[in-house]
Amino acid sequence: MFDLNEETIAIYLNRINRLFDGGSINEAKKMCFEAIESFPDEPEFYSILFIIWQHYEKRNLDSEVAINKSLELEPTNAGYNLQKLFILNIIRFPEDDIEPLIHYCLTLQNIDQVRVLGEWALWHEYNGRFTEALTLNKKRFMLLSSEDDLKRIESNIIRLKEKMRISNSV
Amino acid sequence: MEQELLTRLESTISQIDDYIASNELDKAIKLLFETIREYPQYGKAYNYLGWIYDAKQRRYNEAEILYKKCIELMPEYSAVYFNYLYLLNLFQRGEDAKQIIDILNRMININRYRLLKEWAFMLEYTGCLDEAMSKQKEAFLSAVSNVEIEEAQKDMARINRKIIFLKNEIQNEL
Repeated sequence: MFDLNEETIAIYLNRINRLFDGGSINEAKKMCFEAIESFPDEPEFYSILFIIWQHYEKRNLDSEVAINKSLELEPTNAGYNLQKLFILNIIRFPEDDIEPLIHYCLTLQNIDQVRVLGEWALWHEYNGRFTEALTLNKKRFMLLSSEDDLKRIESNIIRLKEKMRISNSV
Repeated sequence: MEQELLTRLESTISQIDDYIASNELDKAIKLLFETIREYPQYGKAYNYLGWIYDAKQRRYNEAEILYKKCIELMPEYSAVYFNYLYLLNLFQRGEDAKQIIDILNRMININRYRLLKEWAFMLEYTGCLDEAMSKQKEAFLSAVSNVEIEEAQKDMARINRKIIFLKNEIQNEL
């Protein structure tokens, strides 16, 4: 873990993060490809590529390929599984059953449970299962610590209650 | 470790602190790797590298391994327990967090406010809201700066909001 390769990977990641922070996304992407050329078996670089392609370039299908590569190299990584869940929700739902992946995610250490529950709630909501989505949002509410997040969940809860009211009246 | 060597390593750590403060993380990472390769028994270096992986690179599994290594080598070093506790609380790992809290609670010369704040948060996300509130009040009383006072007030308001939310939910169900 403490050899020169690991050191170089850590430095690459630091430089890529710095480019991100400074808003130089193209430069970050270039460096990411450079890093992948030197370290094709390091999953973290594909995960960064996922963020660039998905978030900044809206290349959802390419980003799925990138995160699949990270997962192939490190299948139990919490962050990569969460990224996979996120992209499945964007490009595949409502057809796919993503619950097996959700249950798997919840068994992983160091996973952002609030985000997993959020993806799960969204999936239920888009499929018209408002009661399940509401229950999950209530769970999320109890786990959160940031004021902005709490407000967002409260507004989700209000929206879901309204959807439930309307669907019951139809 | 000999005193002379320890003094030298402490001065390396102080150099790393400076690099981190001036956001020269490349230099900090290089120096940390060099130190670990040369003196693998020096615990503090693992804590610092763990913190960079954790806070700057979001490589939480690797960070956790490094924190544990530091604890193994330097069980009396309180800073590493705090870093580890923040990571555990970030992922709502209440059971593991409780163990670290117990260790910190037995230590002297620690920042009591930080411990109580994290303790209260652990109780909050595990659903023990009344206990969380009373722990948060303890944190408030041990706060020594205006920033801490404001932080503790915000945390108490949030817990209160959750208590009210739960009460309303129960009333709606009745």
